[in-house]
Amino acid sequence: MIQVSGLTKIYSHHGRERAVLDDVSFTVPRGCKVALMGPNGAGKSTLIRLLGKVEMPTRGRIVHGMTVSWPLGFTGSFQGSLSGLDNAKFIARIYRTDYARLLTFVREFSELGDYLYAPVKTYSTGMRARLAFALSIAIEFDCYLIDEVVLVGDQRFHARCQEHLFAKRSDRALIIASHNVSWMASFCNAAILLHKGKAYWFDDVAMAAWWYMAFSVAA
Amino acid sequence: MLDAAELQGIVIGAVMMRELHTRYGRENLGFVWLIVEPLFFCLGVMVVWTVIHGRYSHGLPLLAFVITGYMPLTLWRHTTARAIQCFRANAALLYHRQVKMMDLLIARVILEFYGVMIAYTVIAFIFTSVELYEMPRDWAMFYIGWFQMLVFSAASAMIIGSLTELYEWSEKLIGPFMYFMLPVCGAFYMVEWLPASAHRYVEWLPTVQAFEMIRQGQFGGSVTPHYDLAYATFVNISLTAIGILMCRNVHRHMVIE
Repeated sequence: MIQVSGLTKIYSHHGRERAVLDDVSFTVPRGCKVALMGPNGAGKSTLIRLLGKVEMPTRGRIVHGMTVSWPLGFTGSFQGSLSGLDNAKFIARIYRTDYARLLTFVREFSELGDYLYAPVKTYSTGMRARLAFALSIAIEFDCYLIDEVVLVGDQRFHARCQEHLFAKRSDRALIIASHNVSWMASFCNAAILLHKGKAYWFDDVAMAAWWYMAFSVAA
Repeated sequence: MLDAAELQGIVIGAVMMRELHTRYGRENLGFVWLIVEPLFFCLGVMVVWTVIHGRYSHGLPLLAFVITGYMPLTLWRHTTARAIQCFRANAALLYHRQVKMMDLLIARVILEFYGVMIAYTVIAFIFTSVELYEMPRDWAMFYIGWFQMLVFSAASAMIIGSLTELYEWSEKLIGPFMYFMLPVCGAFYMVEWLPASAHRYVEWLPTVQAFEMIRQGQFGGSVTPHYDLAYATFVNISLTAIGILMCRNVHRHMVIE
């Protein structure tokens, strides 16, 4: 499980402080699929980066009781001037995974073909997403952190992601940030709704979706 | 604990490989540039100096004096230059939590050290064969001096890397500062040559300490070095500790895309 207690993240820009997350606590059990909801700027991506221990909290603690992936999105985790293969090799090294095995999976899953030899900066967003997804799924984690922006690929890619995340790895936990409420409601079994720096945990995703709508209308 | 150290070693190694690829590409001479770059610099400086001063300076063979000054200086200048906003440039790597700010810097410092050391060896062999250079008289002192320079460079990289990340204006000051340090740092003089009243001021500088040690190692009894091993070690360890704390503090404030 992942245990979050008293989590606060304050960003300061031009001397002004803004608490994106304010004293947030929750626990994500093993195997739980969590939908992370909230309007733009509510702190979804921030929470995902904090859960991945990429950024550090201003206050509070995050305890990983299981292995957690790096946060999947477009922007992070690649060096644009390097080829897809070089990026894969780097991932294999730092996650101590067999490179040959990783590569076989990445080739098959990403269907990038010869593009793997080209610098990542020449990739389209869809191609980047495919590479990012292939790399993180190739390494076995107990919990995957996913920013929805990564789910931009075509139908075929979408279907494969769902197959791997929800069918083949149904025992894994997942925290996924998205605006697509109905899609999340059909795949997730819990939800976190972010509103004004607070996080509300729901065991019923439909209920969370209802409140999300209500908050949006009220705002 | 041991496992964590091993992982850190793997991460630093991986960052080094990656740095080599991004910096020199895959298709050209690659790693060789790490050696050729300082080699060219040194050759250029030596030619100019020889034309101006002749083959000896203050009774010391000029070539050996230039190499022992310029090569450690290159290490320091390159590592600090590479450290400027190094975190921002490598934010992508920080998406993987086992990669720490320090690893990015340490990988660069080690790479620069390899490059400078290999370049030094190549230059030393070339000029020894034409009898313009003699091997160091006191290898132990020679390496102790280099080691002090290495630690000081690493500490400088951590401090400058963190400062330029936290305060963008500080980047503008690094250039003038490094330029000012060029004549002062000890690469191109020995403390003994200065008026006695100036000794106690320049001896504060960790770079002067390191250069004096390296020259002692190179020339042995033919120079009168001014260094204090205990002082230099203390300063370099303190600066490293400050650097480590600053790196941690930066991570706390860092916003990663």
